Amino acid sequence: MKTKFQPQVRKLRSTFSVSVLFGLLMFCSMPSVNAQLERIYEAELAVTEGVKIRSNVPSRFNYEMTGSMSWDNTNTEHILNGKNGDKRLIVNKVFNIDTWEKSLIKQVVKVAVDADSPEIARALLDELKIELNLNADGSVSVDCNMNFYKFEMKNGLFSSDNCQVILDNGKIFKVNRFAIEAGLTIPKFANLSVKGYRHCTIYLGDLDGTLNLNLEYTEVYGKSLKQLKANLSKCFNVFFEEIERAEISAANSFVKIGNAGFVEIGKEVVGTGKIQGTSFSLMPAHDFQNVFNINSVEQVTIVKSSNDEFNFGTVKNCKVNQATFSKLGINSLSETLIISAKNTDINVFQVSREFKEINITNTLSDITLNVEADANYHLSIPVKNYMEYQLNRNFIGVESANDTEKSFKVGTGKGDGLIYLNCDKCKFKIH
Amino acid sequence: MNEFEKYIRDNKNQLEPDKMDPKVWMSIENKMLKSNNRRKLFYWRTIAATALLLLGSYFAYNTVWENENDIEANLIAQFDLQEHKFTQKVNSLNENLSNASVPENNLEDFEMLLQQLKFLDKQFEEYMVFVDQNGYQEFIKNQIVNHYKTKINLLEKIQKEVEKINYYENKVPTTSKKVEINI
Repeated sequence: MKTKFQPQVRKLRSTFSVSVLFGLLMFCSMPSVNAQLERIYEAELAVTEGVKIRSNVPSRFNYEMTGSMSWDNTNTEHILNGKNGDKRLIVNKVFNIDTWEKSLIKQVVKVAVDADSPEIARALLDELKIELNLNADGSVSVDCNMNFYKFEMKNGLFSSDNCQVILDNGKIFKVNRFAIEAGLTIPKFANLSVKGYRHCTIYLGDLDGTLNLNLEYTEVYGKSLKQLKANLSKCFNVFFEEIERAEISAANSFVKIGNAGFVEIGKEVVGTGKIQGTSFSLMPAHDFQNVFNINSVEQVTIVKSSNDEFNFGTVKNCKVNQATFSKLGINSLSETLIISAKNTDINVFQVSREFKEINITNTLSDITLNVEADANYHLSIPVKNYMEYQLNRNFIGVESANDTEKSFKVGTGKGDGLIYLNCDKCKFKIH
Repeated sequence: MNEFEKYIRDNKNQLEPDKMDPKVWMSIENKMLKSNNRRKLFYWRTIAATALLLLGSYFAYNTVWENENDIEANLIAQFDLQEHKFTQKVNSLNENLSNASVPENNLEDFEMLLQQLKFLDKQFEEYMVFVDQNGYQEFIKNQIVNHYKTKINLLEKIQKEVEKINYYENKVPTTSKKVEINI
C-alpha cells in the first residue's frame, strides 16, 4: 500500500513547492493595495407637489491620461484600465430612478476608493459631497457626479500607473482605484427632466408627474407614466409599459410602448447635435428614420414625419397631418383613420365593422384595407386620380357617379361608415 | 568753338578723374551680381514653395481620403463585420442611384431623404470618434450593424420610390422635366 501511494505523494510535494514559489513571485509582483474604503452618500430633500427635478446621467468625467491605458466603455459601465489592465476608474452608467409615495427626493451615490493608505482614502471620501438644492424657480437639480472634477492617470515604460482624483475645490488625492455609482428616488408626483448622452442606460419607476426626456445615444426602460415629453436622437431602445399621454419627437430611434392613451409624434424638431465640438443642425423632418411600435393606443396623431415606420396594434383613432415616405401598419382599427400624406404606404389588417371614417389623401403609395366581414359602408373615390385597385368584397355597385367622384355602397345592411380615398398614382386593395 | 569748349579741350586730362581703383570696381560688380542673384533666388524660392505647396496639398488630400477609407475598413475588420459586405452593398446602391432622376416637382421630397443620408454619415463619424477614444466595444459593433442596415434600407427605399415614380410616369406622364437626384 505504501509503495502504491508513494509516487503520488512525491508529485503532490513537487506541485506544492512550485505553487509556493509561484505564489511568492505573484505576491512580490502584486501592486500594493493598502486601503480599500467604500462609502454611501445619501441626501434627502422634502418637496411639494408639482416639483420639477432636473438631472443629468452618470457620465464620463474629465480625464487626463499620459502613457498606456485602455477603456471599456459600454452602455452600463465606463472603465479606465491602466498599464497592466488594472481597473483604475469605474463609472457605473446605469441610472436607476425609482419612485415612491413619500414627498422626498433621495439621491444615493456609492463611492469606492483604493489608496496607498487608509488616511488618503478617508480624506478623499470626507471631501466628496452630495448636494440636493432647491433652486429659486422651485426646481431641484441633481448632479450624479458630485464634486468630482477630474481623473488623471500617468504611467511610463518603467513606472506603474500613477492616478489622482481632482475635486472641484482643487484638492488632489492619489488613488489606485476609484469607482462611483448613482441612484435616485423621487416622489411619484414629481415632474422629472433628464438630459442624457454618451451611451447611458436609464431605468425608470412609475411616475404620475411629467417625464421630460432629452436624450442622445441613451437607452430607456420605463414602466408606467402619466405624461411623457421626449426628444430622442439615436436612442435605439426606448421602452415604456404604459403611458397615458405622450409627445415624442425622434430621429433614428426605436420606441416601443405597451399601452397608450394619447400619443402625438413629431411635433418638435430633432436632429441637432455636436460632432467633435462643432454643432451641426440637420433637420430633414420633425420626426424621421424611427420605428414606433405601440401595442394599443386610443388616439395617435402623427404631426410631421418622414421615413418613419409605425406599427400599431389596436388603434381607436389615428390622424396623420403630414407624412412623407413613411409606412403605417395598423393591426386593428376601430373608429377613424384620417391621413394626409405623400409616398406613404398604409396597411390596416382589420378595420372594425363599426368604423366611422377612413379618409386618405395620399400620392404614390400602396394602400390595403381589410374591412371586417358583414360591414356596411360607403366608398368614395375621386375620378381625377390615377389608381389601380382591387375591390374584393361584395360591392353592390356604383351608387352614384359624376364627373368628380364614384361612390359605392358596400353590404346590404345599414351602415354609416365612410371610406374616402383621394390617392393619386396609388394601388389599393379593399377586402 | 566758343571759349568754354576750348577750355574743356585744353584741360581734358586734368578734368578726367584718376583711374578707378579696381577694388572699387570689383565691389560694385559684386553688389550688382548679388542683387541679380537675390532676385533670381527669390523667384526660384517662390516657384519651389508653390510647387511644394501644391504637392503637399495633393498628398495631404490623398492621405486624408485614404485614411478615412482605411478607418472605415479597419472599423469593419476590427468588429469582424466583413461577411455582411456592408460597404459593397452601399457602394452598389450608390452606383445604381448615381444617374437616377425624378420629375422636378418630386425633387424636394427626395432632398429630405438625402439629408437623412447625411445625418447617417455624421452618425458614423461619431462612432469613429468613439472608437478612437474608447477602443472597440461590443455594443458599438451592434450600433454599427444597425447603422449600415438603416443606411441600406434608406438607399433601397430611395431606389424603390424612384422606380415607383417612373412606373407611374410611364402610365400617366407628367409635364415636369426630369432632374437627377444627385446621390
